[in-house]
Amino acid sequence: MIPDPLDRLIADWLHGTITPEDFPLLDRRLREDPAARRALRRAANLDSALRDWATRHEISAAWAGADAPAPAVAPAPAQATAFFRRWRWPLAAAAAVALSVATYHFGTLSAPQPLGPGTRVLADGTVVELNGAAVIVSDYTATERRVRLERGEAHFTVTKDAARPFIVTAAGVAVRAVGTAFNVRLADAAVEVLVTEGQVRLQPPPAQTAPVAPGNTGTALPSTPASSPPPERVLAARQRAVIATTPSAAPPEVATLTPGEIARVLAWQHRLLDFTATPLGDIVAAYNRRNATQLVLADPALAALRVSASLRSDNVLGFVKLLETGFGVRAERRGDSEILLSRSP
Amino acid sequence: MPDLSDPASNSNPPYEEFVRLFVAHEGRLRGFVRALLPAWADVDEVMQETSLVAWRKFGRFERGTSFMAWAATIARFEALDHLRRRGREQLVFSTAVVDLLAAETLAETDALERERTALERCLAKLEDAQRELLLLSYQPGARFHEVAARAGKSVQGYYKTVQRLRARLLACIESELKHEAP
Repeated sequence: MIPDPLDRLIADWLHGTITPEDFPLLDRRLREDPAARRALRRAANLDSALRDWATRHEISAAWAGADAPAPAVAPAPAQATAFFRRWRWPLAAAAAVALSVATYHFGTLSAPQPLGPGTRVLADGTVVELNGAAVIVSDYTATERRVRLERGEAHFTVTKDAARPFIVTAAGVAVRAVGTAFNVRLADAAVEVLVTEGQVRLQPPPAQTAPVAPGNTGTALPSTPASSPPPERVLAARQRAVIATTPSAAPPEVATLTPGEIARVLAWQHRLLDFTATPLGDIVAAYNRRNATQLVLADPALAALRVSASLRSDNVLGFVKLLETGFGVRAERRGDSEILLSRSP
Repeated sequence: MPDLSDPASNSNPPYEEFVRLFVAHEGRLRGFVRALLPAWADVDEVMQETSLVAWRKFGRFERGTSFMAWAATIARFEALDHLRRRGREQLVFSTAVVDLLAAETLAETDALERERTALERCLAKLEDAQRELLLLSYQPGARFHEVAARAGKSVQGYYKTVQRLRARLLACIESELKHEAP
């Protein structure tokens, strides 16, 4: 079968390699042939969707796997990372609310742009890790700190402030915390809340007033009349609640997860760490926060060493290998969970 | 009545509303811009400009009308302006083509959205290695020749591989949508 030259023209156009000779042919075909225009729209839509997909998901194997070739590194401070562009925030002054997304600055609302680790620090110091294309909108007042999860999944490590409760809402579900850590995932027809530290108070959406189902481990607070808002319930560390958001939904299901199950739920937090001329001390801290294997700087002067690299946050051994091969660092394993870093002799 | 023509000066800016609308339509809008521009760097710049202009003019957006149509009008203008500024007159589609693409894209935004949803299923049908090979070239900022080198392929070979995989995905999407049809 002879391929339709239109396919090649469209492919070349989208690839940016169409020649000045071919371009008028494509333009004429598009002008005259509705099927050609449809083909271009479909191809462009596919291109755009693939870009979105590639932006939301890490491409792990070729770039950052432990056994993959060494990642691109650049000790030179001025070198920007090859794969990420950053946008400024020109609308900050105009915004009355603080907005964060995993893949792009809302201030510019540009096309999705990975920012490296999808971590945001809110005005009170609360740390939010955003999974993929998660979107949060925060609205802080003098009496409360409110964050709405618009889509996706986010993990919150909340700064304690007894005077201003911290409340996350998602599809009508409210999660209230004072000082704790928890994960919220907004799915199509449910909200999942997993507490990783401390406790939260969970307020299901108004339609759900049924008592806690037998066998559930969530603690129902004192009951309220049917016309009142549904009772809050307390979730403790390691408990996960799945709250259906459909109108006739069953009451929330609460279960206690094992550490392994929790690790699997939160596996998304391992993402590409993107450092540009970052002091090694900061990078080590970033890895230590996310991994059981701890890196220890035996030589304090190493903390000031500037490193540029893009690596998965769970790829500790890959990072150590990078330091050994490119930065004159010697690594020595101490026990099962510690790696000592010092200067090579 | 607050003056919404300058959102920044409004004491209660409609920022959240704007963000919500923009996020909801951004994928389709980018697909529309992608059809008009030959490089992702251009698309990104135009999307950025579009978002800024749309925000500045958001006070003039009539609630209840199509945000997609309104934003696409801005995006179309920004795309053409971008190409003119970059001195690529020879690669600018004729006005007739741009207008047809714009009108037809707006008329089938639902269909394009269904295609995007079907894509998720079709990507899942690819082997992991194929999927990664394809998506490497779509990483923002990726340089095609660098990606090809990392994939261990010549630029030409990698280009052909990507085009084959894209063709497979398009065929898969079409098949998925046929099965969806009542």
